[in-house]
Amino acid sequence: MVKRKIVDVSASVLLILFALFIVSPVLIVAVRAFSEGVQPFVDFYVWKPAYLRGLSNSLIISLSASIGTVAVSILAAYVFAKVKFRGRSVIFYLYIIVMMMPFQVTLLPQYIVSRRFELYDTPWAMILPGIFAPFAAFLLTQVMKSVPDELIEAARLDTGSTLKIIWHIIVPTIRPGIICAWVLSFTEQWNAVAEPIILMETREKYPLAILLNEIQPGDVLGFAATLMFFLAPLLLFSFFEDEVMEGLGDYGLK
Amino acid sequence: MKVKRIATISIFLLFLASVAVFVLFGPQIRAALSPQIRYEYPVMAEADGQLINAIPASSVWTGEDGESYAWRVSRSDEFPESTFVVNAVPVAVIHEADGMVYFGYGFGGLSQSDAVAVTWPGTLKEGMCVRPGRT
Repeated sequence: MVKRKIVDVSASVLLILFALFIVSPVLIVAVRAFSEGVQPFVDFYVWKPAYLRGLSNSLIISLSASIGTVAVSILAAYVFAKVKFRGRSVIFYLYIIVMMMPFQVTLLPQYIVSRRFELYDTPWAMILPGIFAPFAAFLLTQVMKSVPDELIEAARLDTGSTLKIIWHIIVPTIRPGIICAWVLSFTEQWNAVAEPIILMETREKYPLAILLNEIQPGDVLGFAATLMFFLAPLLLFSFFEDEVMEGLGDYGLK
Repeated sequence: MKVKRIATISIFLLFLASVAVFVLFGPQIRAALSPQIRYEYPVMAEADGQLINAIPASSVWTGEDGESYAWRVSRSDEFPESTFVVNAVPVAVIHEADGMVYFGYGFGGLSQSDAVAVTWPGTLKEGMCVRPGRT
């Protein structure tokens, strides 16, 4: 009994130390950002319009791409999970293969396509590939498989419209999975660095992730800008924590 | 838990609103917060029978290294609106008389086409934003 207690306490202490080690960069950034009061944040908002513009670009690109990918992926997931047709498995495996590819593999084709369609150096060069990213469709397909077929058949008796069934029956049922897919897609777009460098040219259109590289090391403004940078995904995750954990945990286990 | 969600979403919406306000109204805010200064261009003045450039003595100050400097007022790519920035440039002082400083050209120093701040030289800082009011 005592031995078990010692083991439990030791394990807890070890895990706490490990958690502090993981969180320490965030704590260091927060402490350094506030080391000169709120002046660095005033500088960020008022006297550094380039960085504030970068932050707004990041918000626009991430919100647009993540909302778009969820809207498209819900429909794709319904087809993969509930509609039986020849070649469904092949197409789904192609999704998985593309999802498994490193982004560097698809970066050159994205550049060529963006040039061809005159999307180069526009936010759409980032938003459109984000909308049609396969990860959200894959996640929502697994989520959609947990919806009973009988529920859909019962709904089909009331209304023959598939879109109405998706909107009124399926979306409320898999709401945690949808939110999980949205938050993860938002975070992926928010942290993108290589794609904006390749697909954009004008400095005014860069997201903040790229502009942070220009700040001198040790500059307090850099710490303030970094804190502002991870505020948005931190707040989103904090608000949707239950749904994200449910989307990753429950549906993943099934 | 409900309090946490309300607090989180409130902070997030406040964050979005603050970014939107400062992006949309940034030039006006910077113009309101920037100190207003007077600036002048160097004039050609006669000294010892020669015509050389001169600026008001009130625009020249001594740096920590003992050298003479002036605040050059110029536009900045970072602030595309009417806000200007000041940068310290060395002044190659030749002669001082009658409230004017006569200077020559030096590498990287003040030139004839540079506007200099003639008010508040002691309060300005490198890279500071100012609103110019021409004399």
